Amino acid sequence: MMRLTRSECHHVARVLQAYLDGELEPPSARRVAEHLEACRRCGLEASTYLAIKTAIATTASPPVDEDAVTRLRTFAAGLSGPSR
Amino acid sequence: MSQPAPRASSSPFDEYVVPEIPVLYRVALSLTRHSADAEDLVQDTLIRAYRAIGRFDGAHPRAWLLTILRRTHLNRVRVRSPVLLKDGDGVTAALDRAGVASPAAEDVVVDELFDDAVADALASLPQKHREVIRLVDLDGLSYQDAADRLGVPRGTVMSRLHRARRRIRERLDEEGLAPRLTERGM
Repeated sequence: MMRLTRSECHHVARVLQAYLDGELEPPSARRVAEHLEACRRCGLEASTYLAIKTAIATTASPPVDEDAVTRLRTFAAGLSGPSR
Repeated sequence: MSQPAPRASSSPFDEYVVPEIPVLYRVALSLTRHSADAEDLVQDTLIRAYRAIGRFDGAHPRAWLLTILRRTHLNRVRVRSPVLLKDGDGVTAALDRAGVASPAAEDVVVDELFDDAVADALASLPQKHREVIRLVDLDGLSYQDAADRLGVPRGTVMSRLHRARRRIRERLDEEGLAPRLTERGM
């Protein structure tokens, strides 16, 4: 089991945003993932920022790829259509 | 032969799920940064929602669906990129502990308050902070691509992004909406 240290938490706090944005190199990302698994406080911090990212994308209104939405509506119709 | 029923009233899936597809796709694009991956993620989310719709009570469909989408995303990342998020990773475990990944009724209500608070906090940020949030979280640009778009160093994008998210986080703390370790018996 990884030994948790305050310096490790500080390191994770510094790179957490880059980790969640997929901007870390694999060795660094692996180190962060291991820490998040072991440290409840940092894991919860990660979940909070992930929820913030999701909320931002939910509430803003950028242009959406209408073709993709149309394909997904067709997919959804395929899910619900045949059974009725 | 029969006339098709109006879709809005034909099933709970059509009523609650289908109207949210544009939002689901937008969030999926933000999380995956790739249009093809975003479509796959929404398809998986739709399948899970279809299977679970019988147990859905009709309250807060967007929050319910976004919770399914977030959980589906984490599962997909964990399976596809064991280097980045290995099995049993801390984020998923923390989400489960925080209730963020389990779509219980009380959680989706909190999700809606959470979303509103994030939107308010985002609107109150300086323009240059909103700009970088838009490029990275909405348009799905990498840090370098966002830096190129803005004509600033990559480090500037990172610092603005961190500052912006920290401000949003602080706002959530002030409103008591950020998950805390002391909650849920932890």
